Amino acid sequence: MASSIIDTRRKRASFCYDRIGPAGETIAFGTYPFSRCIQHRKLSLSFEDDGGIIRYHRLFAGKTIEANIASGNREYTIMPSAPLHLPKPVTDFLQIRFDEIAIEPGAKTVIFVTAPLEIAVTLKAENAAAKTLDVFSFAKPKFALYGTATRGVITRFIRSPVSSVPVPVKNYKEFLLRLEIENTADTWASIGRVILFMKGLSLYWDSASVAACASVSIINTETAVVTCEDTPLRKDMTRAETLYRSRRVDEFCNVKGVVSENTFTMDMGLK
Amino acid sequence: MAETDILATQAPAAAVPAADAPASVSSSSLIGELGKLFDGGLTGNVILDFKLIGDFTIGNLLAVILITILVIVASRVVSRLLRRGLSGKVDAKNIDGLVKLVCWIIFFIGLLIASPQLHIDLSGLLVAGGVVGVAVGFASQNTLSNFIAGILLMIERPIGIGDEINIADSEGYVESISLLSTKIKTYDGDILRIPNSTVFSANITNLVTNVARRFTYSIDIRYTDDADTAVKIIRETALQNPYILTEPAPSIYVNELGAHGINILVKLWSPSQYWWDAKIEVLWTLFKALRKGGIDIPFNQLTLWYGEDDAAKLQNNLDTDKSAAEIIGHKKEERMLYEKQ
Repeated sequence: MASSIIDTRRKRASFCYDRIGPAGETIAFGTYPFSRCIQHRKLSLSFEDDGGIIRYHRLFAGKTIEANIASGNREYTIMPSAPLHLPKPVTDFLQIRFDEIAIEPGAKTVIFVTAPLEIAVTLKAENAAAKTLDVFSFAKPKFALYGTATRGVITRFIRSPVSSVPVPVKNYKEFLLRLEIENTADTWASIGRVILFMKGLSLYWDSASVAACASVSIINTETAVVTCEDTPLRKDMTRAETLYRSRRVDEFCNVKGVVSENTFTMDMGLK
Repeated sequence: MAETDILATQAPAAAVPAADAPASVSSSSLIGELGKLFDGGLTGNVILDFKLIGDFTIGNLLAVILITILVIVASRVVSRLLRRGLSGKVDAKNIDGLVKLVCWIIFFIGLLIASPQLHIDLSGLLVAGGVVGVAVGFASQNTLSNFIAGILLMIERPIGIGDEINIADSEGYVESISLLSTKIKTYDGDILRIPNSTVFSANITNLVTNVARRFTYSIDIRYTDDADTAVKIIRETALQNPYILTEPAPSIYVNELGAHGINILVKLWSPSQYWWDAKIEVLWTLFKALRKGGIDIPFNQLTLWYGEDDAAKLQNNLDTDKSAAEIIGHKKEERMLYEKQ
């Protein structure tokens, strides 16, 4: 019985006649025919055509995911996604902690931080939204509470180094986030974390990296408004499709304007 | 002729208060006038006082129609307000039931108001109703208290449908909240029906009302194990689980030097949605990690000392020390001889 399973997998592997990208970087974002499979580190991704039904097979870190597809459009897309889905959809918020920065009143600065990335495999059909077939990530998920248990929010958590220039990020594990921080208060303010509403995040990708932009407006030492910007970090970057439907954003703790489509007001501390 | 007299006497009487205080007609006087209208009906001219059937006049008919319209409008307004106020808070079925009940109460009040117009004497009915009411009141005391508690629960909302709660020594998910009872689906899948008066007066622990919650493990290790190492292993292992929150940080400390081992308390925060998944996963992971690190859970043990007087014990110790010194001396001599050779 065990040997038959091995045989089946060998048979599937025989469909992988092409490799994407140069050696060592065998994963790349884009749209490909089902005949292409991907081998990247511990990831193996392939499609097997049984004549009518196409079987999707993904092996990653010892875990196997399989799915059956009936589609005339024999193409799939691999694209970056905000870290919303894994291990389960826990939260819509992302918290990035970094070394504290003291900003003088009225000053503006730009920093670059990194955030966890998820990779989605989607299918397209005419006159229909993309269907998310699979999501996986090289980043290990961690969560943290921002604020209090009664009034705060659960956030996807990452601790990031800070850089004043774009750092090279091409490991499919993280994306680069450009943060433009402005201190609009009339006192010095220190900031050591940002909370982003991930469903408002616009990811852009090119052959070099995945990136997003956001602005932080510090109102006082305890409050800041974080807005996700729909602009690419560099020209010629491609915008990643959003995998979730836009929805009406509920008022946060019954306070109007605290969270909107792409804005989150951090009113429970900046450090 | 008699009707004309009535008109002559009634019309000025009705006009007098208005003429006396035209600028400030108080609300109480207005209500009084309306009361007169509902009591006596619309009277005052030939048409209104024209009798249709028996003593039932056109005035009475118009008053009944007016009261009916007011009752219908009032019931619709109240039902709309109720639906708007309770939607999302209470099951739709319960809202329908409550709205119907309130509408029937309004219709009954309308009937009471309209009864003088219809020349129906309700005094006997009211006396009988009073007696029946007392009897029904006694009989439905519990039902009424459950009903009122149900309404209060809907207003206070300590629990919502789908919440994971602990109530009256039972734990489970809130399945439904109706006007008379609350249904809990226990972890075993059983449905537990609790009267609302019990729910309202009971201590309720809502396990998911906050976004995050903490749970605790109590772990014993042997006295021969290093507690600092154990705490470090526990912290690192617990944080490997994605659902254990990085902030607030886990609180892990030596809580007690117990009879059989060192007691370590492990307090971990998790998203309320996934706290149970985390709790059942992490404990076994911690055990495996501790054992891998050479730290084990102690068995209950008892050291027994047999009766031995202190002097004998001291002599024993001295003898042991002496013989030990002699052995060491011999060893040294042997070593010196060996080195010389």
